[in-house]
Amino acid sequence: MWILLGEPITALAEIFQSECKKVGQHVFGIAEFDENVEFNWEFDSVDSCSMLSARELSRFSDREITGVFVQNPPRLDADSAVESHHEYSQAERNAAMFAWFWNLRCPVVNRYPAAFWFSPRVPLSSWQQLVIKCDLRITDAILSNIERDLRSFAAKLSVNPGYLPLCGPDAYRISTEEHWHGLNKMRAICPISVIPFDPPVYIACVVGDRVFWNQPLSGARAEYDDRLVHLTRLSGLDFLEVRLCRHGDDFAIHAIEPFPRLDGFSRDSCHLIADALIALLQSRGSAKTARESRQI
Amino acid sequence: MILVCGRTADPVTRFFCTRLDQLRTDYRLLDLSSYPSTYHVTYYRERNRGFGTISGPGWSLLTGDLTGVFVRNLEPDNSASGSPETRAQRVALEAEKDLGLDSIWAALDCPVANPPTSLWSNHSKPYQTLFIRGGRLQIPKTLITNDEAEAKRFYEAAKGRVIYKSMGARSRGTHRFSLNKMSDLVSAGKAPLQLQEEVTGVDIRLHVVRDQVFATKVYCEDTDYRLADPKSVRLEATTVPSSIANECIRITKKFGLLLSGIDLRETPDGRYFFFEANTVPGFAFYEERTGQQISAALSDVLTGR
Repeated sequence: MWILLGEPITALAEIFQSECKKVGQHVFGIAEFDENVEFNWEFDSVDSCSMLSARELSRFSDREITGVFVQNPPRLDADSAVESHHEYSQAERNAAMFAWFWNLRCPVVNRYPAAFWFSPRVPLSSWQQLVIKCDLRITDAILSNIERDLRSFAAKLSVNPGYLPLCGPDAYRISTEEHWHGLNKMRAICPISVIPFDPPVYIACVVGDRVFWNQPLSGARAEYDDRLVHLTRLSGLDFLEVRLCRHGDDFAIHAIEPFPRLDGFSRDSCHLIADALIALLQSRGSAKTARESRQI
Repeated sequence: MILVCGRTADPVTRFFCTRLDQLRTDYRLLDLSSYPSTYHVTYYRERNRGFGTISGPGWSLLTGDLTGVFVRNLEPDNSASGSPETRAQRVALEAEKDLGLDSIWAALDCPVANPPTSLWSNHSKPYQTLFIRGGRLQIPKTLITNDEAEAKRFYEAAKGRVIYKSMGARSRGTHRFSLNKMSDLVSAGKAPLQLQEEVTGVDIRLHVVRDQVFATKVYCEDTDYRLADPKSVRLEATTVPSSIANECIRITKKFGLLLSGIDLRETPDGRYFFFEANTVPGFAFYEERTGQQISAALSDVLTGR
C-alpha cells in the first residue's frame, strides 16, 4: 500500500490517485494526523514500529507501507489573535508526521530535510552552492530597504524590474510609479527584493531523472535537463520545481520549489508527472526488495 | 568583524555582547527589535556572487569584511504599532523580514552561528532522536500515541515511570505522566502525545562550539529543570568520555550547526541518553554559573581564530 501524505497538491493529488488506480496500486491519503487517524509509534535505540488506522482503513503497520508520496506540510493556522492550543496541537501533529515519514523504511518521495518541512521558505541563496555546482545561475537581485539603491539597480537593468517576494515563487513586474509607491510602503516593514524580470517564466518539474517543462524550451534543453536533474539529486530530493527566466542567452533561476505546485502545467502534463512519480516509487520499491533479498 | 544579530531584550544576546566587550573583540549589533527602521541594508547578487552593506547607528559594514555572524532570532515581534491587523498578515511580514536577513546569512562565506537552514531540526524532537540512532548515545523507550489503551499498556510496562513532553518547537516542558491525566492528554481526536520511559540519572547540558565541548551537570529535584525556580538548580562543570564528546561534535555537524546545546542524561551504569539538540541554545545561563568559556570559544570561531 502507498500513502499520499500531507496537504494535497491541488493540481496533482486527484490525478495521482486515479493513475495509481489504473496500475492497480492501492493508495491512501492522509492529510495530517488528525481526529480521523489513530496513531501509535514506539521506538528506542534499536527498534521502531508504528501502527495506524484511519477512516475506512483497518489497523495497519508501517511494514505494510511500500511507498509514500509526500505532498505539502500541513498548514498551521495563524489567524487567531494569540497562539492557541489548537496551533500547539497542529505543531505537535506536524512534528510527529515529519519524524514518522522520515524514518519509514520504504521509498519516500520526497524525504524532506527539516528546513524544507518546517521553515516558511528556504532562502534562494541557500541553494547557491548547489546551483553553482550544477553550472546553473540564480537570478541577479538586490535586497534593500533603501529606495535610492533599489531604483538605481532597476535603472541599470536591460529588462523590466520585478518584485520577488522572498516568501513566494511568483515575481511581479514593476512598471509604474504606483508599483514603486506600493513597494516603498513595504520597504518600511521589510527590505524588498528586486530582480530583472523578463517573462515568460519557464517552469521545470524534475521527477527523478526526468524533466517536464510547462512550455517548449528553445535551445539547449537537454543540457538544462541534465543540470536540473543534478541539482535535484544534490539536494537529496526526487521531486522539485524550478522557475527560470531568460537572462540574455542563458536562463536564470528565480525560484526553487521543494514543494512543487504544478499550477503552471496543463492537465496532460500533470498526468505525465503523476506517471513519472508512480514509476519512480515503483522502481525504488523494486530496488529495495532486490537489496533485501540479496541480504537474505 | 563579528556581527551580532539579536534582540537587546534577550538575555543571551546581551550576555554575549558583554562577553565580547570583556574579550575586547570587535563586533556590531544589529538589534532586531528596531530592525529594519534604524538600519540600512543593501545586498546584491550578481552572477551567483553576493555582496553588500549593512549600516546601523554610527556604523557601516561591508558583508565581505565580516569574519562571523551570531544570530539569535527567537521571538518574532508581532506587536509593533502600525503593523497589519490580522495575525496572519503580521506573521507573513515577519517571515518576509526574517527571510531577508536569512538570505544574506546563507550567502556569506564566513562562519554563521547558526546557519538559517540548520535551525529547524528541533522542530521535531523525535526526528532528532532517530536521526542520531546508531551512534553511542541511547534513545529512551518512546511511544507517540493518541490511543488511550496503548498509552496505558506503555505506562504499565514501564511500571509507571513515564514522562510526557512536547515533540515540536513550542515546548511546554517535560512532566510526569499518570493514569489520572490520561483522559486530558490522550484520546482519539487529540494530537499524538509523546511518552517516554523515565531515565534515571543526572542531566547534562553539553554545548558544542564547532569542535569544542563544554559539559555541565545539572542537579534539580524537579522533572524539568528548565521549568524549575533557577535557585533550586545547581550546575557544575564536568567532563564526559571522549567518545561521547566526539559523538556530540558529530551530531552538531550532522545537523549543520556551529553551536549546539545537547541535552543528555547520564545513568548510574554509565550510559548516556540523548533528548534533544537545541539549535538556538541559551548558553548564558550555564556560562554565568560555571565560568565555562563558551562565549570565548564562539568569539574565536567567529573572528576566524
